[in-house]
Amino acid sequence: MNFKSIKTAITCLSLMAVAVVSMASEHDEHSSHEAKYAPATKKHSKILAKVDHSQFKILKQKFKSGDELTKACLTCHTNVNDDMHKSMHWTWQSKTNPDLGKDSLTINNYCISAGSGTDKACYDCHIGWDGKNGEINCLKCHSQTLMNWQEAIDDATAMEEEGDEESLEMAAEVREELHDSVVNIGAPNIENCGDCHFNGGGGDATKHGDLDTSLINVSKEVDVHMSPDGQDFTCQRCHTTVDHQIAGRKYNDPASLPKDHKSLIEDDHASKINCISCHSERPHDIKRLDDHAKTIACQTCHIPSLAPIYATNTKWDWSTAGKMKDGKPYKEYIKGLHHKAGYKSIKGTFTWKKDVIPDYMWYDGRFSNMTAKDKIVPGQPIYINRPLGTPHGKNSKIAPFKHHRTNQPYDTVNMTLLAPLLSTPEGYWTKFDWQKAFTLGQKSIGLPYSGKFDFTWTDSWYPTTHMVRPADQALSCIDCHAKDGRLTNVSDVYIPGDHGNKYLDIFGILLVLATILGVALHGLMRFIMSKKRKG
Amino acid sequence: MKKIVTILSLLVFVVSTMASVFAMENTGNYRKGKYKYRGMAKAAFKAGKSESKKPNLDPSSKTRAQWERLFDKKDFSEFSCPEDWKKLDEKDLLNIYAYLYKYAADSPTPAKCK
Ligand code: HEC
Ligand code: HEC
Ligand code: HEC
Ligand code: HEC
Ligand code: HEC
Ligand code: HEC
Ligand code: HEC
Ligand code: HEC
Repeated sequence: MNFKSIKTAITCLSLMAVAVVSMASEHDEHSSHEAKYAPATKKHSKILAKVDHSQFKILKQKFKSGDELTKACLTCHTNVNDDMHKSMHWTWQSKTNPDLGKDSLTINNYCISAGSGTDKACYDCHIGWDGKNGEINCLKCHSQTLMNWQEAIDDATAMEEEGDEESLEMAAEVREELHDSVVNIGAPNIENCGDCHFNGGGGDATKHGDLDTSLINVSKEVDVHMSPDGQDFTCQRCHTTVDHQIAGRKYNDPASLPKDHKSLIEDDHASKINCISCHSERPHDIKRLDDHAKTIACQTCHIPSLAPIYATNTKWDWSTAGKMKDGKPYKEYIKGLHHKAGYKSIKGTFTWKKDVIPDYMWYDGRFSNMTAKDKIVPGQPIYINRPLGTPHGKNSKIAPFKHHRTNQPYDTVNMTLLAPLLSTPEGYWTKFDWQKAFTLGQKSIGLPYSGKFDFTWTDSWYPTTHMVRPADQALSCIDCHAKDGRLTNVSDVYIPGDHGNKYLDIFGILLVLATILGVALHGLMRFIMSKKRKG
Repeated sequence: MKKIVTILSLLVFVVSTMASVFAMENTGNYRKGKYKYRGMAKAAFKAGKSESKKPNLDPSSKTRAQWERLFDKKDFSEFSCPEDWKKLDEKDLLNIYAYLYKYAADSPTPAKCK
């Protein structure tokens, strides 16, 4: 060791000492834990007053159709139809841009396009009994016993018509089961919302790495908010709902612009929601962490990985669809994964991943979304949807996303992505005829098809915001402050310890080390204090 | 020798007609079959003989050919309660078969993005 390095070491050590002293005094005085969270207020519990619906005679009828059943609900709940018909759950259309929405020109890189009502199977996850034709099926969100109500109504009605003794006996049993489900009414639980939201994109955990059936009776280790051992939140505890308008981001309608923020501590209902609605912008005892939260979204540190339990779909290749075995379509499941196929004749080849590290990007709460009429440019990447934000912009923070890549069909003459018709007897899943699927699919959304197609790779991103882990599983300093740390690919941000400049880096590392020490000291102090208090 | 031949041909006859019962005569009432099938699972659950109220096999667990083979052989060992299956009469079996066949893995019931 030469003189120079000793000198450097001394400088460093003294710098550290200074930093430690400054850290130790960083403890944020006005950050006593209590009163920072929004407990369920009285207002909330009043709305959820439980009423026993089995007392209502009108619900004891032998309903012959779903529409009839809903009309019975509406005799008392007279305003729900009007409210619900305005919501995106009915319209499947963005309020700010009519081209966006599942019933409009929006495409994704899973099953691509719902084809404006033509692709019947896609409307299974519409809240209507039969898409937009007829009444809303309230039971999807409100029955606490999920079952296939349509099947039960159809079968009971058919067996009653058949009329023989055995049929009538069976019909009576089906009626009883149906009735139990119809009168078991309450506010939506996780399974109600999850029946659609956990299974989008092709099945459980397919589209989202943070919304899947593992959230049903989830452990606190996976989701502190929705776990029965944690806060036991329903979805609408965060997605506050007024007159059936469920709060939350969709398309380019941001959830996180500060002007929209109303603290849930003051009121149960806010039209836009975010973590800070409950936790405030300074939730930590450690000032350094609160400072980070000005640049970094809460989710970045508190959701360290996607798909912790079930693997999520990360790659999909439609171009391999259509292979047959003995002249028949087939599926190949992957061993060791929860009912996940590596290949399906109807859909092509899939890649699944567990415990995925998200992509990190600047995000101001808005997304850009491509539609079926947008042109693609050869040689340029195709972003189906993409988070918007500017480095260090006023409302922008670095947030985590699930990245998905797909090889999907496009029109080589019109240069647009193509919307194939998939379900129904004429669709690709029955006929395995791409030409026919594109002709019918494009026609259903009112767009041309030249007759010539090929496949091209596209990218999409979905926000990562659920499955918040316990605080002690948050990212640690060195996950980011190290060479090639988590945020190394994020544009325009200097992360001490991660980037090139040597001198800046040495100072940066020291700063970080000092803070770590400070944090440790802080922890120690807390420990000692709590011992004192107890003793 | 003659006896063996007669027995053998009788056997062949019986087996082949048995096979055709399910292969050709798909005349069962699938709706009754469905509830009978589900009812068996519920009964097994109530009697503590299985862990779920739901049948352990879906119609789509097998192809049409596979269901056909299973019913031809009357090999019900894969169901959660094989003893109960022995008690079913031919009509119930036909109904259940009709149900499983109708919704088998390779049936034309539309696939979903699910
Ligand atoms: C005879 C009148 C009547 C009928 C019919 C009726 N309800 Fe209700 N329902 C009420 C009353 C009264 C309340 C309690 C007051 C309120 O919240 O409006 C209530 C409350 C509710 C609630 C909210 C509170 C909770 O229990 O958590 C839901 C959801 C609901 N009903 C759904 C339905 C559905 C779905 C149907 C049809 C299957 C239906 N209701 C049929 C009278 C009725
Ligand atoms: C019947 C299926 C279904 C059920 C049940 C369901 N959703 Fe949805 N939800 C959808 C679909 C489909 C969309 C997207 C529509 C589109 O993109 O045009 C959506 C959109 C949303 C959005 C974004 C909408 C916006 O206006 O910002 C949120 C948030 C949401 N759902 C939450 C919930 C919650 C919470 C529940 C339970 C109370 C629930 N959903 C129940 C199918 C469902
Ligand atoms: C199991 C329920 C379910 C089924 C079945 C379903 N979807 Fe969806 N879909 C959803 C939900 C929920 C959303 C709202 C966004 C989200 O939570 O993923 C959605 C949104 C979409 C969107 C809007 C873009 C996006 O990804 O947010 C498209 C396009 C779409 N679905 C296409 C289809 C097509 C095509 C089919 C039929 C082949 C289909 N979906 C079937 C649940 C479903
Ligand atoms: C997309 C899911 C969804 C559907 C479909 C739905 N609701 Fe609701 N409903 C909700 C949510 C979420 C709440 C708010 C619960 C809470 O605040 O905890 C709610 C609240 C209610 C309430 C009590 C509060 C109020 O607004 O009066 C009633 C009553 C009700 N719903 C009736 C119905 C009826 C009747 C139907 C069918 C016509 C229906 N709902 C369809 C999601 C849904
Ligand atoms: C702890 C609060 C919390 C709970 C509980 C919660 N969410 Fe969310 N959710 C959020 C926040 C915050 C966002 C907004 C993310 C954004 O703006 O990027 C969001 C966004 C969404 C979106 C839009 C995501 C997208 O792809 O655009 C959907 C859909 C959704 N949540 C559904 C659900 C469902 C279903 C449940 C219940 C199983 C649920 N949420 C429970 C906080 C919550
Ligand atoms: C509806 C209010 C609400 C919303 C919205 C909400 N939280 Fe929470 N959160 C709570 C409550 C209540 C607790 C439990 C308080 C406690 O731990 O003392 C909690 C606990 C936590 C914890 C600590 C868990 C532990 O280990 O003790 C973290 C971390 C957290 N939330 C992060 C988030 C993030 C990130 C978001 C946004 C995606 C969010 N919260 C949104 C209410 C909320
Ligand atoms: C740079 C990473 C980072 C960011 C950004 C961040 N947190 Fe934390 N958070 C942590 C760490 C690390 C802890 C554990 C601290 C400890 O052990 O005392 C923590 C603890 C918490 C706790 C538990 C209370 C406590 O002080 O122990 C809550 C609640 C919480 N964070 C919420 C949030 C919310 C809400 C946001 C966004 C406004 C956020 N966090 C942003 C890293 C972060
Ligand atoms: C999610 C990644 C991430 C984590 C985890 C993280 N940091 Fe940082 N840190 C950053 C980024 C990004 C910046 C630059 C912030 C900016 O430009 O505003 C930064 C800046 C800093 C700075 C310099 C602050 C300044 O004012 O220039 C220090 C010191 C620091 N972090 C210490 C820590 C410590 C100590 C921890 C652990 C408790 C930690 N960081 C955890 C990403 C992270």
